[in-house]
Amino acid sequence: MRSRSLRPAGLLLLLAALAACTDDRQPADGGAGDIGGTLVLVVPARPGNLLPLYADRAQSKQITDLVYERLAEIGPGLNTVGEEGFEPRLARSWEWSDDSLAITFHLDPAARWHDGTPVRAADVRFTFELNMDSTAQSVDREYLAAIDSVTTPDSLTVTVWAARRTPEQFYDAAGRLSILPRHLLADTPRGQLTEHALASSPMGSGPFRFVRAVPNQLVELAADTAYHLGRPPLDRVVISIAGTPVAATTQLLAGDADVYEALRPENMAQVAKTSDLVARIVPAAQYSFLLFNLRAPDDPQRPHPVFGDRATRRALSMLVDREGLTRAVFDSLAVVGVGPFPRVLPVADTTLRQIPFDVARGEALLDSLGWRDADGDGVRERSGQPLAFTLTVPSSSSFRMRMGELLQRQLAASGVKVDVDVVEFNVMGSRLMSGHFDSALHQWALGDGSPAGLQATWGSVDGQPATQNYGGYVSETFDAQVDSGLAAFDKAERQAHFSRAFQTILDDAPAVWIYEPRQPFGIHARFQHPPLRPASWWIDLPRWSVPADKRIERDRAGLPAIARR
Amino acid sequence: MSRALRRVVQGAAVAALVTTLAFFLIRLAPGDPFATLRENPNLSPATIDDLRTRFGFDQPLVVQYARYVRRALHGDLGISVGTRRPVTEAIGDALPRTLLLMGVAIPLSFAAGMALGVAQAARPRSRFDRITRAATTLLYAQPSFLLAVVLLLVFAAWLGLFQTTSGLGFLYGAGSGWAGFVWRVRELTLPVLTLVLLTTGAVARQQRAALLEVLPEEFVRTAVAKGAAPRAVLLRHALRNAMLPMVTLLGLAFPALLGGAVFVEQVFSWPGMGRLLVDAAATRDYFLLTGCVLVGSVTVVVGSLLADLLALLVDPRQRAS
Amino acid sequence: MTTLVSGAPLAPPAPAAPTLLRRLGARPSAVAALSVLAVLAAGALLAPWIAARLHATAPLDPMSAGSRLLAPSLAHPFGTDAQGRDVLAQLLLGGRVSLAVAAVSTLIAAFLGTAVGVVAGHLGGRTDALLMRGVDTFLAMPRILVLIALFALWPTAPVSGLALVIGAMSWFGLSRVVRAQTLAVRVRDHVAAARALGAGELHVLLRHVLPNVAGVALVAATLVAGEVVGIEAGLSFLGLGVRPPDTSWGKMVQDGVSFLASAWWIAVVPALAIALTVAAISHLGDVLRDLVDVRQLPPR
Repeated sequence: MRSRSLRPAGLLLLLAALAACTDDRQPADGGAGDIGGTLVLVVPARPGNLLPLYADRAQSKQITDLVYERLAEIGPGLNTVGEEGFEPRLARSWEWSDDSLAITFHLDPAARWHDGTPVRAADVRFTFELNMDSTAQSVDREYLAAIDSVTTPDSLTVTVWAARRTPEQFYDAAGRLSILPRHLLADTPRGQLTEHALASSPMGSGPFRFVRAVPNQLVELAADTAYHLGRPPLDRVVISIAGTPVAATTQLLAGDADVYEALRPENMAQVAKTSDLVARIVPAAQYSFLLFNLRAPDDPQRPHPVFGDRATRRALSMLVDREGLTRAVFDSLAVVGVGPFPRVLPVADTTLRQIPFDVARGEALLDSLGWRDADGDGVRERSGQPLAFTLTVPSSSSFRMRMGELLQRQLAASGVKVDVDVVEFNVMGSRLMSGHFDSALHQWALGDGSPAGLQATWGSVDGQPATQNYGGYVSETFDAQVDSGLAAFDKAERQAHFSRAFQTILDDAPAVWIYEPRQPFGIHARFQHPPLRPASWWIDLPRWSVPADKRIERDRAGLPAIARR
Repeated sequence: MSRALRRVVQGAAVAALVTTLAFFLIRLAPGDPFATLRENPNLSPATIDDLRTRFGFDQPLVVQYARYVRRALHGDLGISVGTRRPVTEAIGDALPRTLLLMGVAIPLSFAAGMALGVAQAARPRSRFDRITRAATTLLYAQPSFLLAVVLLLVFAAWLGLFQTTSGLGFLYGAGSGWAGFVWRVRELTLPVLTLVLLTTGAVARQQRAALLEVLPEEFVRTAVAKGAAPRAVLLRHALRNAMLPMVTLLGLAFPALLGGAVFVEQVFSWPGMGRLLVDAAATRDYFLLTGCVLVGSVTVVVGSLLADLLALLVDPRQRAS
Repeated sequence: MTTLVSGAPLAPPAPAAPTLLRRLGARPSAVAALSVLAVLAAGALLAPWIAARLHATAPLDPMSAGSRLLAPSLAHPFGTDAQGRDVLAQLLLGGRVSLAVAAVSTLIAAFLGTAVGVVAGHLGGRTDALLMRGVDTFLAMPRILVLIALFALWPTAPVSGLALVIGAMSWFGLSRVVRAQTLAVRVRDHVAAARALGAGELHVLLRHVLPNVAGVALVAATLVAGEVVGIEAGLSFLGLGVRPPDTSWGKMVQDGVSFLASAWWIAVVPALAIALTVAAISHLGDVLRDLVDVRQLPPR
């Protein structure tokens, strides 16, 4: 048979393919004491661009935040006002000018880029200039509006000049930007930086150095043994990119991965039952709500026929069982919302007066407002206008789709008709922006503890809603309190302003604050680690370790050759 | 060999057609690759418009298409919006991994399927024939992803015989050499097994049918009459003449296995074309998605071309036509 | 025959459809397969009514933890899912979508495939060459890749769109088989006789050719139906295709996959339904194939 001759050739080809996939790496001993260990972090999606300028998704930031570092790092409390909680990184120390407009940072002379070049003040100035240059299109550019200029008195000293004094001035100067290596980036035209080699193989001055990436499979980072703040205990961090959430969970449960940060409610019990794993639930810096459009979808100048009326909104709020909805959809993986902020926001206030869940009162209020079911079709109406609306829900979130269904059922029982409209994520975004919606299940995610986003999401300018205030809520009281709060340096005064702002918006009910998701982690029990901070737990990875007596096979893999120097 | 030439032209037509289709459908769909950026409160619409211009998405669709075709003919499939890597590079990473998966699965499933088919045809309607046919039909009837998940849960997670992911051998001293080879084989086992289980039934069914068809024919009877052992007749004469449908099946197995690989790659976290495609589609990575569909069709076309050439080898009669 | 998938020009006359059904009835396994399909179809048709009855006898409150993830019991023979819904009710409701998608897309594919195949085979010549070249082109298309791209881009496409698109992309193999059978039929005596008696081409096509290719088309359609059920399930697994509150068997399996270790019934029940359906259809196909004696059908 002719086909027989094909067989050995085919086998050889196969062998060649297998061999080509392997790499040569020298084995090494695991370290002594606390030093050593491998952490495999399994993620359900691939990272994007790995240049901090463009790292806009969590999977990218997890890598860039370990490979690069900032002048100072925000503390676990997420405070962004003043310098409270900030920890020194590239800057060993800093001081304020007498007029508080300038902050001078003294760089750690021991800091080195991973190629051995020292980190110098020129790198810092370059980073600021790059981020502020509109042609470079940094995702952080618009945070830097209050910065005037950056000067370098000497090679280890940087002064960041602010245009005006603001409470978050220190954060803007020290805690936002990851410092970039000027010697590698300066020669590239700024419009072409997205395609720079560093976008796929990052090289910074942080605690971990980039070793290699296999697209859609893994990213390997190794401890920088020469890190100026002391080498991290772990030898390496491997980010394993799973195909689906089920695959990721299975990797964790089977012991092939050490950390997974997006468990589903149903897997929490399994993790708890697995002796090698511990489950941890961390607050997420997000809040989700039923957003009412206060303006008519077809004519933004007119109020919405249902939601334009504050009393109606309050009555509808009383019909929503936030507690029950949250538990039904999330079990223990979310807590009930308390306002336009997650609880981890430093100015959050959980003691405010909430609109109660009280169906009888809500229905009575609707009756008194004239919303009655006169024609007996099960839906209330008022002067010809039925108490009916469309609820827009993104197809990307199974949780919100489910919440939509339950809300529909809940409100129907009180004669309110809700049409749930599941739309594609992008479509929902454009509907919100154009105002062509009645109501939506929307969510805001915060990257830090700054309340500055409140202005854009719920505030107004000259009586017109701000850019991301899609519901069109306008309140002078709210705006004034937020502005004062953002400008206040004194902590108590600041809190007082925000509490007043929050109470105002809670009473006006432009939305029903349904839930705040919590992040469910599964972590291998052998790790010693600081408490997981909300929003960016990986910042503390340089402090994770594996005690010598608890090491497993992959902890003994040793440092990759490239990281030893 | 005008026939081979025609097949090549036809293959090129498939690739061109599918790519064109993909190009326009993708751009007619709602949303664009910058949707996630729009969710960022700190990026102004002007910045995003600027990005669109840079990728040429502001041009009329026809202009974009002409540009894409011109570049594609020079081997440039554009740049992935998500990662800013050249699409050819991303596909260059992923394609060999999918081909490896298919390259191992195809010979295995054909070998297993043909052996089973021969065994079934040797004693048609026997108990063995009935049971194995029912079993393979049931296996074939499983949704491919479910079979993959069950294999993953049972053999990797529960029994711990295989890895639940790929590429981590270097952590266990199996990065290279013999240990690395063994590790890779273990990684391949479950994904390949899934594909084999899914296709063996179809191969066996075809083999059995083809054999039963030629068995009554004149030359087989002649061979038996001449004193050849029935088993030898089955293997030598009949099998040889039943090869052609197998080869035909091989050509068609390509698209089917590529489709199966998409799901298998998701479940076993295998970084091949299926992962790339699903990811590109989800993030609306225009060039990457178009590139994946283009390369996917070329793969299938090349596969069926090869099968066609093999058909010529197996059946000399075909050369005449 | 120059083409990859060759037909069987020398096949004996295929029996007409009614005869076929009668012969099918004589095979117990075929009757069993038909009954399985009939029960599933009936369940799907009566789904809203049965679901309402189930709810009335054993009400579930989606807001209460006491209704979620209940193991199979008398009240809920297939248990309940993570959202506190009866899995039996969901199975029947999902069957409406899954079976409807399968039926509609198979019908579309059968119609298009038969039309193209008969026209190509009957007219022959240039038309035939052109049509078959086109069919070969589409046969080489990686269908699942295109479908994934399509539904990832239009995630909110309605179920009818799903059925339509899948159907429109599944007729190529079928048309090849029908064409081959047409080629075989049109040289037969009775066709030639009809033509000699002065019957019009359309008459010959409809009265003499079509009835004789129907059996072959039916067998090929069973292959399409089996594939289509799998395609819908696969798309749903990737989170494409059917979207809530609609459900389908594939969607149910996808929802249940992460519960396989804790509440297996959520994924296993719909998976069995899929397997049973595909197995029944494919067995019917086998039996029909024996009866019709189609030599070479496109493999799957």
